[in-house]
Amino acid sequence: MLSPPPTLSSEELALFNELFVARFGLCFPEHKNEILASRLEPRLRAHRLNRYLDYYLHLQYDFANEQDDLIRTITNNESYFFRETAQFDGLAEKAAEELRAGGLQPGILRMLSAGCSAGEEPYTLKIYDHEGRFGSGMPAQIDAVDIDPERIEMAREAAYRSSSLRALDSDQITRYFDQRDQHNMLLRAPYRLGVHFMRGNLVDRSSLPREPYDVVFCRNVLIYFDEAALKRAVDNFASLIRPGGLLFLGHAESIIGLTKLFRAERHGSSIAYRRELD
Amino acid sequence: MPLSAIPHSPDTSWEACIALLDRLPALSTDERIEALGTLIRNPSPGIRSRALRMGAALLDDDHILSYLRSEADDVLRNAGLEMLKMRGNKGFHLAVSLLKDDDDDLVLQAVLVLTSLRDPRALEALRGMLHHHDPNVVQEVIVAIGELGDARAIPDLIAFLEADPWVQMAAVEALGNLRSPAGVPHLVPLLTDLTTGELAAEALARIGGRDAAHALVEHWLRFASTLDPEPILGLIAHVLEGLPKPLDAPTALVPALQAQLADERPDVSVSAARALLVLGPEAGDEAPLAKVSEDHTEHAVLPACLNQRKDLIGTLIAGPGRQRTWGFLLAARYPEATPPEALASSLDRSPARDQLGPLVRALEKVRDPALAPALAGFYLRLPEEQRPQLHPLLKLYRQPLREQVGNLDMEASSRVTLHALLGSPAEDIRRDLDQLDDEERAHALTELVDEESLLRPLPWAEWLEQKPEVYAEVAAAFASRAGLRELLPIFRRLVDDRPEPFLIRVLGDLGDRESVEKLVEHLEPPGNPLEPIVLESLGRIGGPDARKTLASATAVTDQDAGAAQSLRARLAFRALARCAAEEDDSIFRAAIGHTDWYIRLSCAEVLGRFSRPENLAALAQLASDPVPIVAQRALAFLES
Repeated sequence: MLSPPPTLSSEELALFNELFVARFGLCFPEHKNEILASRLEPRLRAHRLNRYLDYYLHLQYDFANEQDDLIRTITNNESYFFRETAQFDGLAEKAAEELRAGGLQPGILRMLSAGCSAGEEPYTLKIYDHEGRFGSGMPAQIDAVDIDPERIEMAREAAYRSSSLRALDSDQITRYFDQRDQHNMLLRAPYRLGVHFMRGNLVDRSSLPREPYDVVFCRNVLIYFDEAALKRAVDNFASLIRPGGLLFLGHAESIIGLTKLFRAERHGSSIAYRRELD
Repeated sequence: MPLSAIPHSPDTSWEACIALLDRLPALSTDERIEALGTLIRNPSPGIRSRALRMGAALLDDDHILSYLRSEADDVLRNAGLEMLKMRGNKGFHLAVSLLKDDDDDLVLQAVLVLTSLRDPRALEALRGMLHHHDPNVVQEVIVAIGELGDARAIPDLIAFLEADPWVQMAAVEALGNLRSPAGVPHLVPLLTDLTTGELAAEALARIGGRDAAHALVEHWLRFASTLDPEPILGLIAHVLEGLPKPLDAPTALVPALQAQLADERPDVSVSAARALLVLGPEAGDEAPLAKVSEDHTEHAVLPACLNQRKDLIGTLIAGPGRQRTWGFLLAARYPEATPPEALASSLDRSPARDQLGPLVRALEKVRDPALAPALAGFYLRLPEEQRPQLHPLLKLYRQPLREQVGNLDMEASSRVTLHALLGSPAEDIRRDLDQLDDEERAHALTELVDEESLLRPLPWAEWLEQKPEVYAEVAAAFASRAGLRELLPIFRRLVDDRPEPFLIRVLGDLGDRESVEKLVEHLEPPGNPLEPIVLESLGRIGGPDARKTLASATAVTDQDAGAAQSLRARLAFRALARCAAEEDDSIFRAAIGHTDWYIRLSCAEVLGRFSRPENLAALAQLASDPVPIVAQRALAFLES
């Protein structure tokens, strides 16, 4: 007879949330209990555990070795090329030239894609830059971080299935990609080279790059954060972005009322947060 | 406490309020009430809601009344209102009594509370207020009656459709909230009214049904050139999605909707796409489907516009990302309309992580024997830790799968496992297991660990003695599930040699009191990695010796202790709560002000179990805990 799959109690959900928030900033609200349970179940199976509490205790016992599998299990990695481009367009229309001119190294637009998943967002930025949409002259510097090392490897590989290309028309696919095999398209070198990927945790400043950026994109990541973690992430963005630089969040995300280090302003049809001068 | 005596710190910053929330469990009741004055002034929704919940549990009626009467302080007044709402039906009688108050503003607040409570007992009291002298009160009473959803109130409301515009608007809204088709004829004439037209459209959408749908569609087609498409299209899509069968729509509707697909505003184009998808394949699916896919962020929920589109199952399953998930969800709903070849080919493409559950549900419902070869291949390609998710399916497809297994190339351990799951005779499986080498056998046993009757007669003790390094982990997992206490002497010996987490866990799961002394040794040095698992096992074992050890492990006097000590204390409290006897309750009473919510949760568990008067007083304090799960648990015990 099969034993029923274990259930995740409210208490266990709260324990996991406490751990995830402290380590990664992530939080699963009560209504996502079943989603978290189904994602963690294979980890219970892998360790031959019967209860979610036992998996929590296992994480206390050996977090270092379990961390990568855990991250891969609980994060939402879905993204695609040219996703919600209104913010890229908003940057391109006006702000990019202004930021290039006023940056710490005038002429270079330094951008960070925070929570870059398998690279769809930073590579879209690279495409914009390659096509001169952020202004001509010196190229932009594009860095990207994600907490999941497997996603970083995939980003470096730059091979994508059709779901990542769903917002592209056939002309764009032909222009930017080569067929690698039956299922995967490889991003062409001009749109791939020069984008730097690294592992980074948005709530751990020491894991993030040191240099200040002109623009940070962190879209559809903070919606999974609890308020305290959101505050930590925003404080980290404040130290990552030079005074006068811009932070772009997803359209459902807002930091209004949470910090005095940024002020909201409109760029095209999207909202950006301007880092206040120190 | 008079209102003027409720002080609040001038520092209502996010940081100050978070610090105050952390200190809160250690504060007395009066100090908590004082802290409320600060917390409810913080703009963060998270902090405010925790403060309001606390106030709802902590404050008596007089306090809440004093908040509601504070004319000069809107924050306090709103807080009183929210707290009264949060009390649920416990606030009902206070709210009804306030309807007779001399203060019109307070009457208004009472009506707002009754609006949120939606308690049918309020209907007569509210009807009696429809002719109150204050039009603001009348307006809110109309809204409150609408929220009660009792269609008998329609005649009361119709009288207000020709009243002062604000009251008229409330009546329109209330008619919509009553959700009775009897309201439709009264609302349709108002669609062209400049003041109430949009509200009437919304009200019709809430009522729903064919008559409302026809009214909205005809209104839009007639005035499309002057109407803003954003709200009306959203309403039309909503009503169409709620119909049990597609609407017999005017011929002009489909081209009009298709023209909106190109609108730059996502709300417009997505609403048009939803409506087109509901209307059926004649309207063309590709473009609307792409629009809805871009917009709908929740993978696991089928968009309402696809609810009846069983004709799209094959297309969706072959589609990208969330479309594929929706295809599986639809297939589970309409198995007879699902093309088996679509499901079979989907098994050849590995599903994304969150698609496995919907895929399994689809296969459970479709149950077509032709799917067996693809299912067998899919099972064998899955990572081992995910295979158990398919076990129920394997049993459902038992017969056709049996015919496949012999033709498939697979490892020996997988073959034995599959035969076992497909119901081959137990004796045959045990014989096959016997013929595997140790590593392969352990592999097969791991996947079959839930098959208690099959595995119980196996020579576990012999295997454990001969190859503990191969079998100990799977034997421990099986012993935990099957209660195999005869293996305890071997596990005790093994734990001496190699104190692995799974060995410590099985001693706890089997409740082995003889191993308490051994386990206690592994609590040293404090902070060692095994400590959490040892504490949990001691809690599962229970008994005087385990409780004594756990009680001493709870005693971290310095609440600012390091992370390791804090972890030790919280897990010790939790484990002790599991096995606590009544004489342990003083430990938990003394800890109700601890800074760690998990310790306070353990306190609620134990104090609720032993309901002495002093424990009930402590539970009452926990009922206003700033952490919801603690407050809820304490309240549940108090109420029971």
